[in-house]
Amino acid sequence: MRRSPTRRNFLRSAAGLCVALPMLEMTHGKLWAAEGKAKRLVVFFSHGGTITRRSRTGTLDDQYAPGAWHPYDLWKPGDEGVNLTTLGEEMAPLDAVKGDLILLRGVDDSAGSAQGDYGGKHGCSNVTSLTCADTTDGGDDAEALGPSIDQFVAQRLAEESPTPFSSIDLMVDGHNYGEPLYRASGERISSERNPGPAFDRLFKDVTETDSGPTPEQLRIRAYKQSVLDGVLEQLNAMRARVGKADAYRLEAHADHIRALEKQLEALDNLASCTKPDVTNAPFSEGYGNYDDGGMQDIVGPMHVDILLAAFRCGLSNVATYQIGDLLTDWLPSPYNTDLGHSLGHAGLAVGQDGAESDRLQDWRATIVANRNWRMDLFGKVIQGLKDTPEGDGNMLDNSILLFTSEFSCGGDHSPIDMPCLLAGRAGGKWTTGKHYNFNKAAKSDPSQFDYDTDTSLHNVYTSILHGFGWDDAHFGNDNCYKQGPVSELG
Amino acid sequence: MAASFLVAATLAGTGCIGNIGGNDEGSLLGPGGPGGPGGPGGPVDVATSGLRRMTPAQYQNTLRDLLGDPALVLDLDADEGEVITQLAVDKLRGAAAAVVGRRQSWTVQPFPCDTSGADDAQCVEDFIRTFGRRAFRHTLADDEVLRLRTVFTKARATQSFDGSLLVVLETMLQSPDLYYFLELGRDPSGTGIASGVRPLTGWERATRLSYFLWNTLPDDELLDAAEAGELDTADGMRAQAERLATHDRGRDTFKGFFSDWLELDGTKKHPSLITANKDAGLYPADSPELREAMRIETEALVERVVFDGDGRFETLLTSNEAYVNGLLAELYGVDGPSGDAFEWVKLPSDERAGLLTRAAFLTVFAGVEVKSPIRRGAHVLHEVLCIELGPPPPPNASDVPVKGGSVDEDGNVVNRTIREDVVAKTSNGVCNNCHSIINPVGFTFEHYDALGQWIDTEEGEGADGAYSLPIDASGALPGAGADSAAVDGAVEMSAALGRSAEAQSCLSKRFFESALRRVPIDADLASVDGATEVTQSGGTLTDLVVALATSNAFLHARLPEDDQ
Repeated sequence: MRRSPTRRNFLRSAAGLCVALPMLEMTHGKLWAAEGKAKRLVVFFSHGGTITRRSRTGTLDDQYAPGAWHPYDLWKPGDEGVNLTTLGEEMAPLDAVKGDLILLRGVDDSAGSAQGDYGGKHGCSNVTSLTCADTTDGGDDAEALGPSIDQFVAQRLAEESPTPFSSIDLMVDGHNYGEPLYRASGERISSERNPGPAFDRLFKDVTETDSGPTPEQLRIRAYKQSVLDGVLEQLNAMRARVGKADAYRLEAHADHIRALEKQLEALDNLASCTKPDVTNAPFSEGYGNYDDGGMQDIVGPMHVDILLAAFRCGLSNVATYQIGDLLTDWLPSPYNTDLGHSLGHAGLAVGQDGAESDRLQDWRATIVANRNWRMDLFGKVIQGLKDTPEGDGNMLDNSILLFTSEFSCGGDHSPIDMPCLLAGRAGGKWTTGKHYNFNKAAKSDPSQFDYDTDTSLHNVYTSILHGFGWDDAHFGNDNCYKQGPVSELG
Repeated sequence: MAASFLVAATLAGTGCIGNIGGNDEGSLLGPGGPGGPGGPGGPVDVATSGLRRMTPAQYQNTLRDLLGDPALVLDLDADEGEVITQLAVDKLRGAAAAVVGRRQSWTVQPFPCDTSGADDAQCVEDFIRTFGRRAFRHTLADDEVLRLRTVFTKARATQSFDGSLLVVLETMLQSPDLYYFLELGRDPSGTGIASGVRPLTGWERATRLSYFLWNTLPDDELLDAAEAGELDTADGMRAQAERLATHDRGRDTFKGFFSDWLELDGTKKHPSLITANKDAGLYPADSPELREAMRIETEALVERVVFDGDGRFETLLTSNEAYVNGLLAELYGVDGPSGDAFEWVKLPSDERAGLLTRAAFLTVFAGVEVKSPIRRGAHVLHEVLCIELGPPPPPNASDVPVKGGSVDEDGNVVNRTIREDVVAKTSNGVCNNCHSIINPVGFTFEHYDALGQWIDTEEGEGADGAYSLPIDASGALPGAGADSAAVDGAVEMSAALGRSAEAQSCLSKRFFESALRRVPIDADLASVDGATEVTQSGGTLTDLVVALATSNAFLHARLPEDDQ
């Protein structure tokens, strides 16, 4: 359902473009003068893979049904040059910011392929794609036994430069087969699906003036503090009565209460700032249905506005933005399937020798529209950061953004040649507008039918840590081809 | 049990990873078997369990009932992982604050005094003890009261008397004592209990019973029974279990159980009854109102059989009574009401029999355009017969379109029914391992389209023009040799399932999972089997839940090893 632009929507868009930011937010930025390292991380996780053909075995063909597979690779750029000049069709909405991107190809989720039941699998791929961790069982109900890169960075930054929220985790609801975000071994992160509650959680207690809290505001703050203190006392008392495993669970709960206490305190000391507008925000009813049907036009952009406003207000330096696997709201036009997830699999039936070869173009149009919409949202985040002054440059200069998924080719559950799109200059450490393909067969085989890489997400995430100025030798488990960073990023 | 063995062996032989009723080969001789731990004649044994979190529904019900606020709706985190998330904790805080903010809607006043008046220490004490007993599901010990009184005292430094009481209330509403199910048990008296196993206390039993049968906190009568020691005896537990199971609040439990059984709220693998997409051109009768009516019909049949009828599982699978409004009457092609009002009618007995032949189930387990014999068959095998099928082989074959229609066979255009298309696409070596079991069950549903409407023929537009193909709904329930039951149509299959020992055993297992929110292991099987014996000897579904609620697995706990 498309809504006609209203004044309120217009204002929200204007805020998203950072028109006339209040002076305080500008000066807030100056505290963050470039120090030659990243200050901020955004992980954009697009469930269900991209429009590619790389199978679990590395070839471009489906060994079980030759010729049945769709013929497209819309993720790859126009040429193999190291300068990113022509984007693939899937990334077309990023054309205006292509100079801010670094596209990595030939990168495997080798932790997923090593542990997945058949070299992939939804659950295992989800829980390894950001963690590079060991998992409980490699199956659909697998849990990661280590933190995801976003939370790892968030916890480091929380120590170095605390903010009220260690990370802000948002999701456009859909139909997912697993959660990629982990705080620690076996501890998932939940993402907020609804803009309204996200706003309440992040901005409700942010003051809009700098005249200091009123006595009533102070009383309310003391009230909230008393409740949290009380809950913490109750948790401590129960913990004394239970065994180790249960004590661990209660300690995690207590950690979260302490985080809420810190938020209360930090919000008190925060400068005033512009809050996003979430008026009439739709509410998720599950499976990608929002009650007002506004997922595409409203929820997606609203989450972007919330994320950007939270950064500008100094509420956090880490954000995750998930988009659920293809959403029922998109269907049934023009390709009709019963579940969003099925559309990815339908790519295995629309090829020349497939069961539905006559529907190839309908399939293509549907999945391109959906993936372009996702890219457009990612582009809005990039542009929003770029439009926000910070120090001598802008927020994008001091940020790292990662766009990825649990699969490359969703229809084949392939964790090989993963989507790995970076943006931002990491405080000057990274040079953008680049394209690096680690598929060593690419140079001799223009079609890139063959595949051979020694680079995995472990290396990319190690580079991200280096981008923040930390000199970790390795991120993740030992299911990698080599340790250390991606040399092109450092 | 012998039949289960044969089926398990059969499936293992096909290469379709199978396991029936949680019963691994050899388990009759091992734990859970006669003389072994947990088995008949052996010491009482149960699986290890730890701290459990309330489900979002349980938490909302609990807060709703604590303050008597029936319209309360809370925004809670859906994650049910073992370790609570930051967002979930934040939402618990928000929920407790929301409840306090709805003070005007409370019909239960927690504070036994005029809170706008002067400080009243006795009021604070009475509130903590009285409200605490309900919220924490036990009579509070003095140190627990002291801890909450301290919360009050500290809050009083910055808040009014009333505000300080609210601080204590808001603390209690998100306290771990309310939110978690902590079961430490008591020292066993006497013998016959495996080492490390402890009988639950009366309070813990009251809590298990209430959340199993009512999905909310125990009422005062149940708490009083716990305090009086009545739940320490089998007779006492039975009396309370019978009271709760037959109470009006138990209606929602049974309705909810069978809605879950039919997966009407959706799962990872398919959408819910409300969100399942249908092609509007092919199904003009479809509407959100029709979907809502389907759900009402399903729940009404459960309620009628369990509370007003003979209470038997078999009847749930064979009754042709239906609670329909105008939309549903039209869908079923029967005379009945024409408007929004619902009435009980009889459906044609050769077309419909019980829950599996009703529109709700048939709509969820179907595609956008066509019915899905594979998904219908797989659901019956998994959920009704507890046959665990292995995952589809790579590439994930579940999304290959199976829609019938014209195909080229050796140069000739042939029109295939969906059944024929399924056979053609699933008969090769590796697919056939599982589909030889799934398809014969799913094919019995061939007379129902993707919206559950009865069809006598399959119509379509083929390469040579319109076609009309006869439907073949013959199939079979799995079993080895003579145990494999040929059935024709879903009416016959439902009747066979209603009589089936495997289906009744599986139902006990599903109720066990609902009661204890975990999968039974070998040590629990005696408890599951005991419940099955009740239904097999003519007992009702109420008898089944009472048997489970008085089983050893329900009455005992085994603490994690480091706790012992």
